[in-house]
Amino acid sequence: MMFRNRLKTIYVKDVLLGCTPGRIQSVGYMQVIPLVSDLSDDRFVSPVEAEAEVGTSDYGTLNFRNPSNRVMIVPCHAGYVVKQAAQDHAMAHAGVIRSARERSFDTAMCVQQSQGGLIRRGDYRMLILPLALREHALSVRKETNYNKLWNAISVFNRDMGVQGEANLVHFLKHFRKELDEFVAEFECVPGQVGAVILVDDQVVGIERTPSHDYWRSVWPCLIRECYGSLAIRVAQLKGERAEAPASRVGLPDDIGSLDELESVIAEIAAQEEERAKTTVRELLDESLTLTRDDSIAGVHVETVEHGRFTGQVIRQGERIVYASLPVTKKWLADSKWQTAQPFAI
Amino acid sequence: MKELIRHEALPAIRMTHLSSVERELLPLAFGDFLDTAATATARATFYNSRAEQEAAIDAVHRDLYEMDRGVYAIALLLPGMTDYSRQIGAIRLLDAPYRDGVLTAEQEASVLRGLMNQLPPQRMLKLIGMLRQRRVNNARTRKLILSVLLGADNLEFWAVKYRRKIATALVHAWGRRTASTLRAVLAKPVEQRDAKERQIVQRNAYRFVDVDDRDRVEQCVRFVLGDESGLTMRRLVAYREAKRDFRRGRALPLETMEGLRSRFHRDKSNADVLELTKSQLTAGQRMAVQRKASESNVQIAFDPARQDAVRLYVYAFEMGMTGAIRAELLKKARDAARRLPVRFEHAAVLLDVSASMVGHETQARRPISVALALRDMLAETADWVTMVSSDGREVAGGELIEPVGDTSLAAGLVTLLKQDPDVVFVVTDGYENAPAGRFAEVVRAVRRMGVETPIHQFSPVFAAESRGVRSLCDAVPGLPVSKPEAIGLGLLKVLFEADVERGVAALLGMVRPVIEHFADNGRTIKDVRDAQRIEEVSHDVS
Repeated sequence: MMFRNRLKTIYVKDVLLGCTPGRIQSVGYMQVIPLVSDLSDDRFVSPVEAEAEVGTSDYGTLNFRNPSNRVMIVPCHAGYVVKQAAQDHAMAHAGVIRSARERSFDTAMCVQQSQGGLIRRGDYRMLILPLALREHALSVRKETNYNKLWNAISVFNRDMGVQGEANLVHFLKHFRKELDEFVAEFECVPGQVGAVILVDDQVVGIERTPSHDYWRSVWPCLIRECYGSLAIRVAQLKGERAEAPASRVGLPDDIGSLDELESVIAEIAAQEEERAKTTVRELLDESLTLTRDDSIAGVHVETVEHGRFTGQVIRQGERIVYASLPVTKKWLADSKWQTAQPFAI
Repeated sequence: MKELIRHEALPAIRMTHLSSVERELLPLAFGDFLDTAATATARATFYNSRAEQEAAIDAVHRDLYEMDRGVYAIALLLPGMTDYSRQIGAIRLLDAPYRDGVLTAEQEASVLRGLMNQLPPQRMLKLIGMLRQRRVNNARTRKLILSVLLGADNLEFWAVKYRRKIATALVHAWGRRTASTLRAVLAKPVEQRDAKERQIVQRNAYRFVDVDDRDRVEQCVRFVLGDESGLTMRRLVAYREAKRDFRRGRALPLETMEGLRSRFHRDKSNADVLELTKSQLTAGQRMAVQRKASESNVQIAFDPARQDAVRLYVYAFEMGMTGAIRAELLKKARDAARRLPVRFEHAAVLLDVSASMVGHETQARRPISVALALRDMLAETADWVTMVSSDGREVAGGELIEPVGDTSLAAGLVTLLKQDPDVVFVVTDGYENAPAGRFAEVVRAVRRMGVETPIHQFSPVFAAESRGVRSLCDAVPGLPVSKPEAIGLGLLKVLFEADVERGVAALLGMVRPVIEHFADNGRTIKDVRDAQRIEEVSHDVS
């Protein structure tokens, strides 16, 4: 790690410390490489595990009560869409709350323009904002302005072909079936603490959590709204040409025996495992420039600036206990150039 | 699936009322219906919300009902249909007037009585509550409710356990005014009732009851309508007296006594109630309260033989597997396999034990429990069995397997096919991800190389989004299973696809004992059968 001008530079390999890639899961355009680890830091809980009480005390202010005896990490861009007549909100960044304490974040954002009312304190289902909104949300994380995400949501809805200005609920309702399917199709594996997520063969995010239990509790929110929304967008752009990613290796037609079939399946599985490893290997030296936003309960919340990934990491000393690193829009748009091979003759 | 069907003698049925288009559509509607009705519970699953489930279930019920009301009614009686399917089916039949079809009106009435009687009492009462909510109160409905409730052998037990619900059901059948009149009339001794009062009692109660049971039924009706005076029946008296004396509640059901404790005996604990009423627990309750009993230091004997295999697996996941439970599971599997019309020399089973087999939190571990019970039964259909799980392990009958990890079934399929079994059964929820579609590729590849071993998929999860079970592969359609005994539904589906009339005949053959048992006035289905439509002949189906 290097320190320069109050910024800190780390690498993706620091985020993935102690992990190994698991077997790749692949359905449609989405692929997930599980990150598996024997190390599990059970000092931290998610709001889902802790059954945290959540509510809004003012427009743009999200309150959390951590009833557990462990430190609670609110995932970056956690949001709450509730059934009651109240304005749904999301966090603009990650949050840390000491054990058995409450904390308010007045930098939160409304995600439902057309609805008024405050969320009554309670235990609600959590979501993580769609990937397309996260970069902008992070750029305005320090503003105390409840409507700071409305324009981005309006653009997002328009891109997705959903009616309704600045109301994320319209998107969630419109694509509920597709989003639910993502949760069903991608399963947690034993010892999983994170994942590298690919859509149409492009790495679109890296997620790392403190423990297996933490991961299991937040994975449905990540795969459903955050990365699932991107997979839906890619499928929309591909239109009628829907097909598996180019890297998906099919069985050849000319297999003559069960023995041969068995060895071909094993060979393809080995190729896929190697591809998963290569994908992760290529990320390891990617640098992440961090700026510190918050320090509490012995951990630091830091934001990733200027690079391939955006997002936040939470560190305790030199150890990364949490990281959520979606890829930036610019990188995604230029990805073919970014990954082009150097000139050679 | 045809190769699974042995020779059977079936009655012939001519479906002359169906148009040629309807004859083509009926097997499709019937297949969709079986997929759904055998597994649907209208609870949220791992994949679908409750509202989605309800909408999908309603659509498949409507399709078959509109195609042939009689086939729909009979299908509801099939073993393996869920209670929820029977509830909404009965409502649909009662809500619309009788329409000509494969069943006569009398036969349909028998089917309805069969449906009501096959439901556990709490679900039967829930069905009546649903009828009330939807304002279904025609003469057929009223007659059905009164004959089932007043004619029940367990009326006394039900009266104390479900007092309010039975009162609501009776008031729905009689109407408020008649119920109020009856309460007043029944309060009088029989000899003091005038002719008009005797007529009221006869018309509304006695005609549904044997002469010897009249006093018993009168007391129960008075009790549920709120008149506790002059009661002599053991449980009804116990209810009245237990309000004052806790120990008198020994004859009452646990829930009833728990209710009385919370109102009249607050110094007593839950454990005291459990100890007091343990002799009254039903077989299901004995299993359900084991954890509570153990925490409260109360010994409650529990007989695994009286539970079905799926519930035993759910129980074993919670409380741990014991030798007695495993032995009972394997015995149940042998008994269920013996009733199937199939037998193999060598069968192979591929079992999905991935994380999604846990199921939704409202039915946690039910899909894997169904899968494990099914595995045990399928293993007993053959002299020799090879079983592997989706994570590549060999598995044994009676083994409790906690679902974890991703879903990769292709390699397991090849491993099994290499053993050259007579048949391969794949037990899975149909969600494959390592990678998706590989199983289908393998099936295509093995067929191309000439391996014709039959492969069948059984799915314990209802997926509303595909209006039925989710198939791994077009060539291996998924068949739904909610309990091992329901595996015969797959055979019916294939029969319908091959020949509608033989399918209906087989369907009728499967449920005929139930219809005959519940036939009105002792008349059996044979007596009321329309000779134009049904004639008894023997067929070889193979």
